[in-house]
Amino acid sequence: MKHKPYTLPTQLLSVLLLLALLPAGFVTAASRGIKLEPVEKPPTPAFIDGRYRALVVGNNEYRDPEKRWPSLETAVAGARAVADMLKNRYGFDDVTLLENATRREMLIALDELGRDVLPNDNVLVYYAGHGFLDNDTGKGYWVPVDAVGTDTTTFLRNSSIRDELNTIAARGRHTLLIADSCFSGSLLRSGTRALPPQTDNERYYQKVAQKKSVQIMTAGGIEYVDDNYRSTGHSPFTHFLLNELEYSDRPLLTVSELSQSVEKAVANNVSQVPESGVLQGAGDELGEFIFVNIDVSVSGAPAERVKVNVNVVPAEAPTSLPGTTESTIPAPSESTAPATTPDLLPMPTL
Amino acid sequence: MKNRILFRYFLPLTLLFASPPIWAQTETHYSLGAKLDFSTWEGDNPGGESFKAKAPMLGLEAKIQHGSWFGGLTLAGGEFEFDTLAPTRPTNPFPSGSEPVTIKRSEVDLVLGYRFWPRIALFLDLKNVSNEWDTDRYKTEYNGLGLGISGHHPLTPEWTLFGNFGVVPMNIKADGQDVGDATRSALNIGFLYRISQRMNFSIGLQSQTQTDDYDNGLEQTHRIGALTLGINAAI
Repeated sequence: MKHKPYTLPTQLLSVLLLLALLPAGFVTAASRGIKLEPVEKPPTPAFIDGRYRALVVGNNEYRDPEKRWPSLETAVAGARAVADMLKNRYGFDDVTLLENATRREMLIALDELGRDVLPNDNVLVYYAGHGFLDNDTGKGYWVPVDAVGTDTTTFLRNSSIRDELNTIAARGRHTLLIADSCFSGSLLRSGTRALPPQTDNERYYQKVAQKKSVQIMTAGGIEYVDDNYRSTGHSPFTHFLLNELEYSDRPLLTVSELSQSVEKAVANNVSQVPESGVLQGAGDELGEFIFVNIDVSVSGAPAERVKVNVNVVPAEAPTSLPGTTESTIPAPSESTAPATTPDLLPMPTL
Repeated sequence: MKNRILFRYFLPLTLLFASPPIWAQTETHYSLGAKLDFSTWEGDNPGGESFKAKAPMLGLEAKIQHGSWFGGLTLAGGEFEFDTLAPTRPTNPFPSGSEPVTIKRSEVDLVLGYRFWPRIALFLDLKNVSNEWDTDRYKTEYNGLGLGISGHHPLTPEWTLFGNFGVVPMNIKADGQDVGDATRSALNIGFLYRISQRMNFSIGLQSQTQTDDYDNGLEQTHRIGALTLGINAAI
């Protein structure tokens, strides 16, 4: 058998591959580098002196004998990805990951976290799993994997979660709860705080870092939220949360800045609207939980030295510092993070 | 007449606009793709002889997604050179199936699908298959509207298992004359690798079985299997 050359198809393929590569070229061309100084020491700014701790919970495999709670597809994967992101990108050194947790395991983990927290610590709690809202009483719950039907005594009540957060907040400096579940907005009882200033002014971060904060980000209000977003393997909320955390080129990122971006991205793409705010009565002083990006890539520098010393990058810094190398990460206004992700599956044909 | 209007216009339009909230709140995505099928075309002629040839088929696709809807066009083509036995023709049987012949094969699919579950979709495939003998430009054409189901399952953040299955009944024309009907069933299964947020690579296996029932009472079977490599990119 012999093969004949395919002149027209080959040309078409060449054109297609060229077209496919063009967007990448545009991105590269449009990327505006920021100048960062590689340093050897850990990048934690002087004004952030506590440890970063996290409890990350993802519940997929529900074993409800009454079949009221079907298994989820993405909660565990979301929790794993968030835990990895916190450890590798944001320098969390104490991360507990709970997969398919029972009510008891969740309560024990929250209790232990509350006991471990030291003054000035930054504590993040992330929950992905089913949520429940009792329409009669207006009470909201997290649903552990051992929940039984609509028996709310087998759930984790919002008031219990608030109690645990109060304990954590009383001991630490900054506390952040991120809830990716249905009706997670029932944890919020106040409006969002003012929008963050459009500046990278270090004085702003210094100010909010020193004030106590107890903040909440939720996947939605009093509503159902999606499990899988366009076959990304994550819920829309967690997908865009991870997206923002991954693509942010800010050395410092406050929760207000993060939630603003995530809320916009989610609301623009799916019919759910994330919410954020503060946990009332827990001592919030309008401070901010601050994510410190320790993994900004700096091309040309040895990997072990690629850390960002945020203290040497003032807000009005010149665009080029002596002896520095250029980051490959674009500035926020030109972020390469896509707003949405097409599934890109091959077209099914018969 | 009423039925014709119902099926031609009313039902498709109803399906199209049945989910206005999704339509109103989601973005439209466009993607282009290319694939290379390393195909084997084999089968049995009415007389019982078997034929077989291998050839690469090059395919291109353009796809549009809007919310749960997707659709697009795929084109694929290749040339199969049968050294000894070839598929016999339903009419005008010269050259006979025993002579070496090259058949240019092209496939066009116009697809419209709806993802009714996050990982499961139903789709319609308006299909055209054309085989042209290089000896005298004799041509057989298959046209039909098929129904299929497709699905995928993420294995890791990078790898996704995908597949689809469906059946398409087709009308057969030879040199412009109706000569019979065919039924094709198709199964595709593969793995998709996410190169970036905007580009995927896929590798898969394809299996198609087709039975041609000619009006003269003869029957011919075709089996097409392929290893498929593809790339899809958002634009």
